[in-house]
Amino acid sequence: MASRGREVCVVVLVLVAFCLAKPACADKASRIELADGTAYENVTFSVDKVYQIVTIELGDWKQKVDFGDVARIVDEGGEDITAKVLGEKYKPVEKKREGDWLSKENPTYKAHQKRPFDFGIRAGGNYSFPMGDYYEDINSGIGYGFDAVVTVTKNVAIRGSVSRAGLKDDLKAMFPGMIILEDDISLNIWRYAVCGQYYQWPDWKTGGKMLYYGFAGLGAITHKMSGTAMLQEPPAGDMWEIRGTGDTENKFMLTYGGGLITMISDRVGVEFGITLDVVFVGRSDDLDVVYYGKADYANIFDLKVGLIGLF
Amino acid sequence: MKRGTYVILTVIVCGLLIACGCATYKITHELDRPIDKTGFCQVGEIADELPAGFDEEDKPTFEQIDEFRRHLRNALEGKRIFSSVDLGSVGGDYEVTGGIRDFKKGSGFVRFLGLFGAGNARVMVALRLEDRSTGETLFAGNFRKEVTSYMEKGDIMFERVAKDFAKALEKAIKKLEKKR
Repeated sequence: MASRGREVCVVVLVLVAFCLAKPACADKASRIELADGTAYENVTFSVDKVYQIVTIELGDWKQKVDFGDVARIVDEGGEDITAKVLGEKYKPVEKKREGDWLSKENPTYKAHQKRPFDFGIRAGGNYSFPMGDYYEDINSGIGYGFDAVVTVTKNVAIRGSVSRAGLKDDLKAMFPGMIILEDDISLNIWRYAVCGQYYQWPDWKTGGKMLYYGFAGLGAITHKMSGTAMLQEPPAGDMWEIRGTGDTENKFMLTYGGGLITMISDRVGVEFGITLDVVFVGRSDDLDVVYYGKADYANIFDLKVGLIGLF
Repeated sequence: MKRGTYVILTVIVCGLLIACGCATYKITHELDRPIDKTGFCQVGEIADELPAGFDEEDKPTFEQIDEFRRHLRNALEGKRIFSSVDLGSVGGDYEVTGGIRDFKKGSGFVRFLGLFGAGNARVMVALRLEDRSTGETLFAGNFRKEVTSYMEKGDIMFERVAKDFAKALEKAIKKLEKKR
């Protein structure tokens, strides 16, 4: 225990020594001139860009100088390295400037704070691909959906969506070898989600037409199979009627997605997007394995296209 | 050495390490003559010293700067360094002025999402105390604060910078008194 304590102490002392040690990046300057006319020759200096301070050192003597008080730094080769040291974006303060801050009520400020849009409404179609044991013998298909987007800041929005996944039952796969006389089974799969969305419209102030977004959220998905189908054993055997129970299965889901919008007018755009829904099957053992398979979750992947109005 | 000694030593060193890491200002002009405590101080202009090309929309507003000046007044009054402190740039024996060097508004909502420091608000201000009769800078430093919690409004960083300035000036006065 004592030896472990000793090791911990040594490590901490090394860390402290490292932090407090003279910075290895101290540079040499042949001349540093300050705004008040003072000049220092053949000194070393180090720069703190966070606090905008130059520390000038000569032996044991040390002085901290604000960026604003530095007029010129010349390196050992005679080159003026002031801009390189202070940074290209740094502008020297030649005289005390009047505060010219914009008021919150100033129309210019208000215009600058304006978001690209306050809310958006989308309607469009989707092509859904089911994946996982839960959707075995279910085929992909075309559906539709609606989304509402409300902006919170210039880059963040809340998105609500309702969509129907146009998945279809595959009776031939479900009942191999049987003759399908009539298939009136319908599969209603509806998804409801609320998501946080991050969006970027980099050039909206200068007339740019492209908007990008990504979102993630939670929701629920409902499944309902209803209707009837008539099957016959080949070649002309017994006939069977299959009835959908009409019961609804509700599952929890996570949803992720993204896309881009191309504006075709000031308010209307065409949206192309993708979504992945992770459906938590929530199966338990025994009997569930027969119906739900072995996986605890299934997925639905969507390709989406639609029209969106931004207001 | 006993185990307990190692533990105490480690705690002290860790404390020093943390204290060094937590410094939020750096003094560029140490106080080298005493302040007249009967003097009257004005909180003057806080100028725009942001980098060239800084977007207008991302700068602090006039209202925020005004609020910052009020925080400076309140912080200096609280330390009782001067006989009175007021806002203005006319009259007074001393004047506090400064310039905003770095500013980021941040977003409480994005801080709430917890995206690795995204949405943090930050400010860096150069503040100086001047003797109005001579125009000489008596005390100056660069003060920086950051807001990382979604539970705090970004504007609180101005209040904290003001308190740091008053605290640093008080510390400098006490250090000078001890030397004398």
